Amino acid sequence: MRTRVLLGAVAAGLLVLGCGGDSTGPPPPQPVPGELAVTVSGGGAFAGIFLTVTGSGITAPAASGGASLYYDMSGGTLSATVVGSTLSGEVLRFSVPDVGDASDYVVAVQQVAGTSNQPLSPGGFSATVSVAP
Amino acid sequence: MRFEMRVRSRWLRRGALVAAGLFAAHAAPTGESAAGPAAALAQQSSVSGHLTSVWEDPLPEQGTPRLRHFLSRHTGEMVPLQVTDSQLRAVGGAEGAVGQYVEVKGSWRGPRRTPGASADRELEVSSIRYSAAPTGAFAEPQGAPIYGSQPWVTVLCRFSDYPTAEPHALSWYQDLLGGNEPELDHYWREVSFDQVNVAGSVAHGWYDLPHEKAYYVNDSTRVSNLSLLKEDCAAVADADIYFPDYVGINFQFNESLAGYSWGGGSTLNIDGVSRFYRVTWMSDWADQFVYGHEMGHGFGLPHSSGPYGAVYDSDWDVMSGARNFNDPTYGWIGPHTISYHKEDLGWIPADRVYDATLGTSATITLHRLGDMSAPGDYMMARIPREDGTYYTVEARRIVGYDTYLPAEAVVLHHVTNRAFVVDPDNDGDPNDDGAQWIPGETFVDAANGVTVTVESQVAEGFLVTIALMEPGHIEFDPTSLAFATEQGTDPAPQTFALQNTGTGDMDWTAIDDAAWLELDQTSGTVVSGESVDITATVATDGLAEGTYNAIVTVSGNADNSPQILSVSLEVTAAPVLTLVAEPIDLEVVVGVDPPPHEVLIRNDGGAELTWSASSDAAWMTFSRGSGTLAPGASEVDSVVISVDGLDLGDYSGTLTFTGNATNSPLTLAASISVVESPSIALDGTLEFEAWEGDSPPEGVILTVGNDGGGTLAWTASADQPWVDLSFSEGSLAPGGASTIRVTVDGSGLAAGTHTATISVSGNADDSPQTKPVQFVANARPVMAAADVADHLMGVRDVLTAEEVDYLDEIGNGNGAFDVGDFRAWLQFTGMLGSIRQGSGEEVAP
Repeated sequence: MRTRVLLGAVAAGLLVLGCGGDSTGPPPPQPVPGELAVTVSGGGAFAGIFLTVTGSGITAPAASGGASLYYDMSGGTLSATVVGSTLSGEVLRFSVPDVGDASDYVVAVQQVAGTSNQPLSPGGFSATVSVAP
Repeated sequence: MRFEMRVRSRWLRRGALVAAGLFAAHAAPTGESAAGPAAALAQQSSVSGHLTSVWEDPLPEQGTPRLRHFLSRHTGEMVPLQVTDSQLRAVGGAEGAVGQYVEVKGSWRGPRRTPGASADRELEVSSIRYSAAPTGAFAEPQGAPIYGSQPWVTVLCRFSDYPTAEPHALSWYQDLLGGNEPELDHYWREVSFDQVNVAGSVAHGWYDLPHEKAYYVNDSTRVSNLSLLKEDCAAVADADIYFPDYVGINFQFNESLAGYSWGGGSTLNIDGVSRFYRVTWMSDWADQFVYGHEMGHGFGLPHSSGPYGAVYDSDWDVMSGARNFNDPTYGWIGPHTISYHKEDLGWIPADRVYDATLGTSATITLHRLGDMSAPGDYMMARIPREDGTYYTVEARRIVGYDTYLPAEAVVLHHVTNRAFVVDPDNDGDPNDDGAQWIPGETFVDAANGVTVTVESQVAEGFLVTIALMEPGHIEFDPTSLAFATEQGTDPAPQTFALQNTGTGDMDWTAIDDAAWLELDQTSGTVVSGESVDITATVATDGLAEGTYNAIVTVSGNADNSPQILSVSLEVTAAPVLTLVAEPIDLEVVVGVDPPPHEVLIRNDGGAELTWSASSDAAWMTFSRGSGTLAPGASEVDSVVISVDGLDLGDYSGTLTFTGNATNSPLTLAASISVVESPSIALDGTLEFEAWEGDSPPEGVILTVGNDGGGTLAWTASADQPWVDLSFSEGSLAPGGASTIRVTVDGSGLAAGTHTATISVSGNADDSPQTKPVQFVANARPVMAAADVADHLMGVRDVLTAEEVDYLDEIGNGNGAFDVGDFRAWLQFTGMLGSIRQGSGEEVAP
């Protein structure tokens, strides 16, 4: 998953480069501040997750669905641990300067725990970043 | 022989029923003649004709059935008779007289029948005698046996003051006569085993009678003029019906006939023919059951019932009150009639009737009474009695019109002048368990030597064993027993002879009603003329002074069964010595005296007891050794055992208690084994460790051993409540060992080291022995959630190795600190969910 998100970021960079060489084209889009959401799927029921999000300008992280969030944003990476009764789908939101750069944010699942606190394989889960609805 | 006579009697009655059709034509046109001077004898008349009877059946709970007697005359007139049973005996009795041609003399009672009169006058009989039947008699109806086509006509008549009332339409009555279940042609075919049918029966009406109901029926006296009802109803329908085409006539009226319906027979002179018909008179409420019942009377059947004086209380017979099922179209539906009736009408052939004979016992299969299609099996059994009556035995199963019987069972009837259900429990209900004979049950009429045992239920009936034996006769010699004794002493046994002075062998049983009395035999067989000696033994234990009475009840197949032998017991007061003590059988450690052994001495007699005790062993003495006890009193003495000077080994002795009691002396045996002292050996390390507030999951074994000689009796206990022992006492042979599982409950203990002591005590010279218990309750690490989260996410290594281990231990225990451990710790500390919803806790510094 991390690989797919990184490829998306490279493609977006090439497109900006092309437009910059055409002065007669439309003006570049203006940044749109807003929230991005991290959604987790696959792997069955879980109740705790530790993940990292890499990208610029992350602020105001918050857990979704009433879960509890512990986080750290030092070093330009958001390290977040979300725990709750049960978790599914969207687990985390955070604010960014431009939601148009959503594809620039890379999320990685580090650890997952089941509802009985048993460890679950992170490889069984995937996480994506998208503009929060 | 008795039974054969009975059969003849019944066949005489059949002949009488046949004769009922032979009506005389010679009677005077008025049917009566003056018999004396005008003043005194003006009301004396002489009338001749055939005696007939009609069963009068009321609605349930609304009247008493009666068998009414009439003189049927050739004109069709029915003359009601006031006649007594004793008068009828002059012409064969109430049963045998029916159908006889007789001359009756008597006085008229009530007004002569005239238009407007509701009831006919009755002839109060003063004498009755046989008379010669005239010649030229008309065709007779078929008497028993009754086979083949029996067409009936149902004539529907309305009273003139009820011109529109019709309890049912004509089609209902026509259909009721039909061949579909439960219609009457279908019904009589099944009941008669297809030997009788009423095919060709028709219904006509409704016709209007010329008079109001009161002309025929007096509701206040509950008397109906059956003759008028019959004649007028037949007359108004005559244009449509040729009556001689039918054997029976159901006169159906559209109002209640004073609460009754009737069934029987009567003459009718119509369509140019004077003859005898089977006749019923039906009230408006008549349904399928009533039709079946009254037509049964028309066929000559009487009632059957339970033995309780009621008539309609048997659910086993349509000829009683068996309204067992209510059909939505035809109302109450009747069951089959009983075997006595079926055989009486000739529907059960002789080779399907088992007639028990004296001195025989046979096991037979009784086929269910509702069906005779399968050949071979008996349909009924008859068992004669000494008094000339007899029992019938029949199998009833839940099939066909018997579907709604009280149960599947063998049913017995006692047949006298009619049949009564045999119901020995005498509870007033002839339909319940007491009248239902099922496998394993036996009916016994000892006086008549009759036993009927239901062996099993088979596919189409029941297997029964029927025995008819000459009864025995019970006599005792002596006729009573009298015992006398003092308290505490049993009297000598006594013997009495049970004699069979009857003509048959006798199976007998004997029971007594006293706990103090016992018989050496309680059952057996005594052949005729022989006897058996029975010995009675009396046990007076616990009996106070006084007189006691008991009875021995001997039952069997005897004509005087049961008989009672009285037994008396006179107990006079005397002291009775009673000892209550545990056995003295001890293992004693050398040099160590055991505790004193208590013996309770009690006086169970009625006089003062003086007692003394002695020992034949020097090592065993009494603390008191003698005493005096009032009646009922008791006291305790102690047996003191001293092993001082005794070497290892076994010793025995006897304690003897004497006194003025008749049961003195009494002894107690004592034995001891002098053994070396046991020694308590404990093994095990009782150390526990857990987090504060937790309990160690596993217990630790403490072994208790006996390293000495002799049996070790031990007990164990702990001095702290948080220590628990799986068991705490036992005994160990030399060299033996037991294990105790020791657990601790540290949930209420603070962090720190806690200690306790387990003590094991016993009859060992090194008792007690102790074992220390240690429980270390480790304090739980105190951590900030931010630090734990930081450590988890690798932001900062702020936790010690012990803290990380702790987190994993209360978490998933997989040997590594992970998000599952973090969540578990949050749960344990109550912090899970404490973060405000939607926000987060920044754990970075």
